[in-house]
Amino acid sequence: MKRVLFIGHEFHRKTRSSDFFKELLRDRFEVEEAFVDPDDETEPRFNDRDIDIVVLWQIDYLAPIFIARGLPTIVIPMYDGSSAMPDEHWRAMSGASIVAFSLALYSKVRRLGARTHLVKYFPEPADRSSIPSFEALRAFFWERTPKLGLDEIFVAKLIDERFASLHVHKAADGGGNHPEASFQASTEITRSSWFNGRDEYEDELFKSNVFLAPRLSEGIGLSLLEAMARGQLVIANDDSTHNEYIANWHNGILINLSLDSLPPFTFADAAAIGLSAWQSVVDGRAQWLASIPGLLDFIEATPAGEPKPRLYSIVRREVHRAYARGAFNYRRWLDRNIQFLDSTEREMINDDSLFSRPFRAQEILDGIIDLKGGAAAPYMGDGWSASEEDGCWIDGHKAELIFLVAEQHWTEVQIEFRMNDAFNDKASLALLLNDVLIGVAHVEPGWKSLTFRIEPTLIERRNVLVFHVDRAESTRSDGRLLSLAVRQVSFGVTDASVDAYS
Amino acid sequence: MRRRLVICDPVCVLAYGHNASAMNHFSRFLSLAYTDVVQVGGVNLPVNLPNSEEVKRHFRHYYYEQIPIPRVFKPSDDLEYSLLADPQEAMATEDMAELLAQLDVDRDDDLFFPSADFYGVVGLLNALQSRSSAPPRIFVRFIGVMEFASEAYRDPEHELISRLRAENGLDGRISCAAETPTYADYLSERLDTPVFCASYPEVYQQRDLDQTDGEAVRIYCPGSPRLDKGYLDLMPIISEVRRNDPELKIRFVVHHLLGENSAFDSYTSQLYALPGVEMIAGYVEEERILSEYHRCSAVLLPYDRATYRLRGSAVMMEALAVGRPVLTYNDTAFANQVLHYGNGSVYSDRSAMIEAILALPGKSIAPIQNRINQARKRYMIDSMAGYAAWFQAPELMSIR
Repeated sequence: MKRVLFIGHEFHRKTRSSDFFKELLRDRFEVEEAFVDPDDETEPRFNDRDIDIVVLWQIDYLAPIFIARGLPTIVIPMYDGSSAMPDEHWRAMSGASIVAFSLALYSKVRRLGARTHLVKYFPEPADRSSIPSFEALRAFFWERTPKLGLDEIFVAKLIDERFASLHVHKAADGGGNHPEASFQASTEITRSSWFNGRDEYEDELFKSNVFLAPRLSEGIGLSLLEAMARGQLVIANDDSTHNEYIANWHNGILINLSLDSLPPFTFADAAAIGLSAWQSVVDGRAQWLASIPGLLDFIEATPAGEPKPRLYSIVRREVHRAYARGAFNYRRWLDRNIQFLDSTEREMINDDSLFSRPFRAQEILDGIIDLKGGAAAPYMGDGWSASEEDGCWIDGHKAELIFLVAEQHWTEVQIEFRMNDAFNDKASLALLLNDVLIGVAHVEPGWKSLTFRIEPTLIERRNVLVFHVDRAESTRSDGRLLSLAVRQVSFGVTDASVDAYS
Repeated sequence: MRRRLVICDPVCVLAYGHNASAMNHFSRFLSLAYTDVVQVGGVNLPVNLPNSEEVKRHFRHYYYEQIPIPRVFKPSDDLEYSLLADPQEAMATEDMAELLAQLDVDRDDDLFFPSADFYGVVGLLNALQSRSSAPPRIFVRFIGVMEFASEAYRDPEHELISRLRAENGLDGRISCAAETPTYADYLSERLDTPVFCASYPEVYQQRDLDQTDGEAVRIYCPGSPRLDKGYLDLMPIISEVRRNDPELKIRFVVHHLLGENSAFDSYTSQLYALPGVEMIAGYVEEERILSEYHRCSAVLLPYDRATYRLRGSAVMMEALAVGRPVLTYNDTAFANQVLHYGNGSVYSDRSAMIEAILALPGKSIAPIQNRINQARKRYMIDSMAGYAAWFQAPELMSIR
C-alpha cells in the first residue's frame, strides 16, 4: 500500500474539517499527517522518507518543495484562500496534480495547463422526515465575517415580516464586538456568543428552517451543505462554492451585499426550495460516493517529476519564508523565480535569486549585460519575460536591470534592442538610470542599437536601469503583451557619444 | 482496389474536436478500398495524442486567427512561393509541394480532404500546377467549417469555388462531396457540377438501449462545449425540466465550457449547481464519449439554426451509429436528415423540446429501439453507397 503524507493547515488540527478526505484516502493508502502554520517563518520539517505521495490540503505554496524533491504531489486548494493567488502561484506548482472542490478554481488552473480533477462533495442527507416545515420562516445566522460586510446590519435588510424569528450567533472569526441591528417588531430576535459544544449549537440551528451562509465564499462549504442536507432554505452570497451548489431559486437563493431586501417569495416557494436542496444532497451524495474511486485513481496516477536536488535544497527553506512574509513578498519571490519553479521553463541557472530576501544585485563584467539565453538572470529585476536565444522581451511597458559596479567613469550606454513587430508605427523608449532620465527615442521595428550619453557621476555602486516603452501589444501568435526585446546593454567611455542608429 | 489514399487535414492540430477522430474513422473505413492509407495532419498536433500515432505531422498552421495555438509564429518571409500575395497560401502551397514530393504522389494515388479547409485545397491546387507528372485523384469533402476560412480574400467562398470550377487543368480528377444533402445541393449550384453527399461512415458499433422500461432517463449533451451547439440553451431547458421533475427522473450529462475563456464561467457554475446535472470536461478521450453514449437514453442537440443551416453534425451521426435517438431543433441541415431517417425528433421551439423531454420517463423502449434500428440501417446503407459511388470503390459497400 502506498504511503501518503497528508499536510494540512494547523487550524484544521482543531476543526477536523479535512477528516472526511483523510478517511477516503485511507481506503487505498497508508496516511501520515502533518500540520503547518503558514504564518510561522520557521522552516517546516516533514518526515517524507518512504513517502510515495504528498497531499497538500490548503497549503498550496509548499508544492514546489515536494516537486523539486521528485515526489508525486497533489494540491487541494480552497477557493476562499487561493482564488486571488496570481498565475505564478499555480505555475510554480506546474509539476503537481490539483484536486479542485471548486469549479471556479478548477477553471482557472486548467486554463494554466495544470493536471486537474474536479470533485463535488456532498455530506449524508438527513432523513426526509426531518425536513422542516415552512409555515413561517425561522432563520439562523452566524456572524463570522462582519468585517467583510456580512454582518447583522446587512442581514437586517433581508429579514422582513415573513420571518417569525432570527437567531444571530455573534462569534466572529478573529473575535471582536460588532454592532447589533434593529429589526422590525414582528420578528423575534435572539442572540448568542457562545455554545457549550456542538450539541448546543445544533439545538439552536435545528430550530430554524432558513440558513444564512456565514461567509462570502467557501472552499467547500460544509456548513452550507449540511443546511441543504437538512432541507433548509439556504441563502448565500453569489460566489464560489455557494453558486456551484445553489442554482438560484431552484435549491437555494443567491444574494449579494448590494441587496436592500430579499426578493419576494411565498412559504410554498420556500418549502419547494428546501425540498429541492435536500434532493440535491441525496442525489449529490450518490454522485460523490461514485466519484471516489476515480478520485483515488487520479491521486495514485500522479506522476513524479525529476528530482532537482539543488532547487530542493533552497526552496525547502525559502518558499515558506517568502510566503510567511506576506502576499507582496511572496508574489515578488514568485515573479523573480518563476522561470526556475515552473517545470515548463528553463532549468535553474543561478540559485541566488531563489533566496527570499530582497533582490541581491551582482557586479557586471566589462560593462556588459548580455540578455541572450538567460545570461542576464542575475541582473533582471521586475518586468522581464523569460529569456530567449536572441534576447529577452519586456513583458508590458516597463522592466529594470539591477547591477553593481566597481568604480567606473562611464559616459555612455549602448542598448541593442528591437521593437515588437506588431507595432505598425514607431514606439517611444525612455531610459532611466538611477531615477534620472537619460534619453527618449522614437524607434522603428527591427534590431537597432542606440547610444545614450550619461554623466559619470550618475553611476553608483548599486544601479537600476529602467526601460519604459509607451506601447505593448500581443501578436497573433503570442499572448504576452510585448514591447521591446533587449539583446545587450553595454556601458563604456568614448570621446563623443553618437545618439543615432548604427 | 486502389494503391494509396492520402488523407489530408491541415486543421488537425488540436487534441480535441472532431478532426483527429475523423482522421481515424475515415482511415479505418476507406482502408477497405486501398492498399495503403496515409494520414497527414498539422505539425502542431500533440505528439502524445491517443490514436494519432499514424498521423504524419506535416502541415504548418495557416489558421492562427481562427484557431490560436500558443507559440505558433507568423509565416516567415523566406518562402519559395513568396510571390503569392497571401503568405498563408504561400505556406500551404509550399507544404503541399513538399508532401507530394516526399510521398512521390502520382496518378495512382488519391488525395482526400475529409474536412476541407481553404488553404489545404488551394495549396494543393497551386502545388499541382507546377508539377509535370499526372495528378492524383482529389476528393474534397465540405463540412461547412474551414473551407472558406481566409482573411486574405474579400469573398473566400467565391475564391475557392472559382478555383475548383477552373480545376486548373486537372481533367476532372477532382470531385466534391458535402456532409448533408442540403449542403451538397447548395454547392452543386455554385460549382455547376453534381456534388456527392458523404456523411460520416459507420464510426461506432451499435449498442441497444437499456431495455428496462423504467422511469430513469439519462440525456447526454455531447456537443455542448460550444456556443453554436447550444451551450447557452442548456440552462433554460434543464432548469425548466428540473422544475417539473423534482424527483430527478431525468438526468443530464453536459460537457462544460471552461478553461478557454472565462466569460461563461458564471453561467457554467449555475448549470453545475442544478440538481441532476453531471458535468464533465469539455474535451475528453473518445472512450469516455462512447461510454456516455452507451449509458444515455437520448442525445440532446439544441444547435443554432443559423450556424447549422448547411452543416451536418458529426455528433448526430455518432449518436446514430451507437443507436441513440437525438432531440434537436428544426431548420438545420442535419435536422432534415433526422426527419428523413427517423433517428430522433425535431422541434420548432424550446417549449416543445422540454415537453418532449418531460414525457420520456416511463416510455416503452421497444418501439424506440425498433425505430432507431431502422434509421441506422437506412443511414449506413446510404452512407456506404455514397462513398462507394464517390470513390468509385464498390469495396466500400459492405453491409453488415
